[in-house]
Amino acid sequence: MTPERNDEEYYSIGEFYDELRRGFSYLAEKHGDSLMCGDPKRQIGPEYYYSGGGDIHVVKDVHTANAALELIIGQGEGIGGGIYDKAKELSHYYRFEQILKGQYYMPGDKPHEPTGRRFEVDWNAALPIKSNARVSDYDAVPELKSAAVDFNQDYARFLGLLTAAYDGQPQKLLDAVPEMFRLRDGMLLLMRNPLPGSQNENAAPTFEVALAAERRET
Amino acid sequence: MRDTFLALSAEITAFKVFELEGTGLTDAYLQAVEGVVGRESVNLLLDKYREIPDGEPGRRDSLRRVIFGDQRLGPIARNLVKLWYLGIWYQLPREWRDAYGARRRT
Repeated sequence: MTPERNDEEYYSIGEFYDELRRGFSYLAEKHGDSLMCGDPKRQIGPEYYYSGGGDIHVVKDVHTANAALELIIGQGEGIGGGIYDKAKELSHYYRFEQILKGQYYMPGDKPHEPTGRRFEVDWNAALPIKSNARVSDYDAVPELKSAAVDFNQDYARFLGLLTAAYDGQPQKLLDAVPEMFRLRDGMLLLMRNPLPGSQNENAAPTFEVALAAERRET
Repeated sequence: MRDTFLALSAEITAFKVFELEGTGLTDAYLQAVEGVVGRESVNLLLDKYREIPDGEPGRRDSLRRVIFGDQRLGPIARNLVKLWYLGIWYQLPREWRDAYGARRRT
């Protein structure tokens, strides 16, 4: 699953998942039906999912595995220059790019060259957060530091829930949904507060999960 | 003005400025209060608040006397507390509207 040469990297998440797809096909050819031998109860089915785009693929053979991987590739940023997925939905990367460029994509457009209607973006309403913030940036401001640490702990707990959900306890996915809203509130608390000593920047969550885990163990 | 509004809000709601700022509603609320009671009343409220000397003993009493006990400022301050907690602006008492209302009918 690693690039063939050490100095190569996956150019995009789409490429990475495409490589996963290739690996899966390889294993399926080699092992046939015996590859998918796990307990189907460990899978997350449509009963654990609601709202949003896309749909749930229960993976039971190479075809369903490929369908699931294609969904991820298409939703994320596409691959090979395609900006729409098979369901004709614009990939997330290009949706964000629409905002940056202030212009909609149209079917048939090339990447980075939308030709649709233009729209105004109120950049004054965007929060001027610090890029790649670290908890150590908040050493001088106890309130920011404690909010950032709280967020990282919530985020670590959330990832733990997701891991458990995808590792045999699908019902945990339901617990994870309200946690996402808590995460949003925790992020906004930081993003709306100014970072003293900066050039009019606001604070931001740091996502330092390893730090959160360390802190919990001690 | 925004800072004083936040400081007053924090003191009378017992939230921290940090928490109030984190709601993202400060500007909307300041604008809402100004829109209802008028800039003059808001300025008076914030001026009086700024004049209250720091430090106990006495600050709590001063707040009560200068802000909450004041015919004009008290109802605004009480409404501001409710606004932060509930997100609702309650109609001010009729006496207040008659005496100070920004949009009182003539």
